[in-house]
Amino acid sequence: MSTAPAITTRGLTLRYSGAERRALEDISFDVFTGEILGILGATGAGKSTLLQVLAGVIPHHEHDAAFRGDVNILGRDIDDYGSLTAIAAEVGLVLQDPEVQLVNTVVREELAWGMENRGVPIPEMQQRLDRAAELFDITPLLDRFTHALSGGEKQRVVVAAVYCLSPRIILLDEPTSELDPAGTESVMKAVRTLADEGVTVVIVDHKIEELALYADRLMVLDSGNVRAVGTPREILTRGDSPYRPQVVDVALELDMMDLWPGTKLPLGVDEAVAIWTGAPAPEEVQQ
Amino acid sequence: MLYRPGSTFFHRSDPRAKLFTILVVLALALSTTRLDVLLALTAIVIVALAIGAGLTPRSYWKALVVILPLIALLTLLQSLVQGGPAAFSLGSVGFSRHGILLGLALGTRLMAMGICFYGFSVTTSPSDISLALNRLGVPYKFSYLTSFAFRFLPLMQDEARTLLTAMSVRGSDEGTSPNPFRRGKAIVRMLFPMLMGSLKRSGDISLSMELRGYGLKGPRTCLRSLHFHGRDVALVLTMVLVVVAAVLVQWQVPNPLAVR
Repeated sequence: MSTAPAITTRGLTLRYSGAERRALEDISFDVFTGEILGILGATGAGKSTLLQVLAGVIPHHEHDAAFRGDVNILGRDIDDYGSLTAIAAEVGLVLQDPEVQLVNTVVREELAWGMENRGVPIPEMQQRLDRAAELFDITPLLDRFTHALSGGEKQRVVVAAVYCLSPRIILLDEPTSELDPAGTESVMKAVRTLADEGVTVVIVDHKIEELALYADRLMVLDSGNVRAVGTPREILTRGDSPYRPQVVDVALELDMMDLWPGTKLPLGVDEAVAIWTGAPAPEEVQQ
Repeated sequence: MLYRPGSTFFHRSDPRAKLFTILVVLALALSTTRLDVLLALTAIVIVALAIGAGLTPRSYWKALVVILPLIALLTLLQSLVQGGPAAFSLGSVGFSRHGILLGLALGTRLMAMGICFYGFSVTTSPSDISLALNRLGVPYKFSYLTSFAFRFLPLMQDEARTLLTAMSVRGSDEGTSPNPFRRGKAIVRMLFPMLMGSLKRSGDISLSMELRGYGLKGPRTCLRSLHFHGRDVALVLTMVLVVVAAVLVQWQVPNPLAVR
């Protein structure tokens, strides 16, 4: 992960026309090159709206909203890009519903379609297609009909199709909502690989245990406001975090208890976080 | 979607050769009202599909049954409005022999064209149709729409099925009723939610297409390519022979069913 920000927002405020309250309220944050930022929040917190601003969908496609503040993508003000397609050349957006993003009849054609539209030369197209199929574990699906895929397979195909366009930033709106645990793990591992290759990833998801495991940092949105930004451990152990799992809760309570002098706590906070996220416990890491 | 992958002669044929074939069948069927020529054309289509695509009438008879009432209606109408000697009379109403033959010819024309289109749809993938049209000079934006339509037909079918299930779990038997009028009512009930669903979805579809460069100016590349092989040349030549034979029969061979 680099220290150069790929995405920067300052004072980002947005209101949909006719809405009583703002969808986003004075949002400021940075996402660094090659970083995975996980965004958490209840329904209506503004997560998808934020992704739409970062992808240029607002205001270029959705015209009933306008935002104030600065949004900087890869060192350029987002307004300087001028059009949605110009932004899309750098920023890939995967929408929530895979059904509306599969616009071809066969998986192979689906992966190739975006590259064909952009005039990618055939050898390079084939190379990217093979790489995406391998990364997202969809090689056996390449000759299948898109309408006959399961929900999870569709989700993997749409993420792979966006990856094929080689964007430098990928925004994923609940990419694992229809996936089983194995499918989720496969997508998250692929996303981790992308980040390790220098692609910046922003994921909105409700599966906090997966985000905590794979994201470098988490951001909590609440009613359009940023409540917290930090490492998964910082977010999970915050006193006011609604995402603190019970196991960490108990560990924190034990931590605060005035136990008998010399008594060792049965479970430390680090161990609790590790148990919950499935990450190796701190002592295992040290060994 | 009718398309079924396979490796038969017609599956492997170039879609442009197949487009030429259906255009020839269409032109022949529409250029004559001679029942004998149309029956021969229908027979050729049926035999060609059976040999070249493994499609026997068993696979499409259900669709043919649907057009039988239409053929009966056409024949009845023609027998009443056409002049000439009557084939038979019911009371004071005479049924023209020429009209009956003409009605049957029009019905056979529909069958020949329908079976031909069926064979084409079963053996040609939507993306091949789109690519063939594009190669024949149709702008990509329009040729792509054919494959796009095939992509979303199954989605509409799924949605209709979900709505019918939702209606039946709430006690409505209209969707499964044997009475066509009650089934028609179910379809009318489904129209509004389906229309709203499609409208809502269309915004997201256009966004996802725009994000992936649909409609961008500049040269497009294409992963797949079409190749005109020897078998495609043979198919085109065969169709040219069929045209010549049909023209000769039409002009040189007297119609055995002609009304004298």
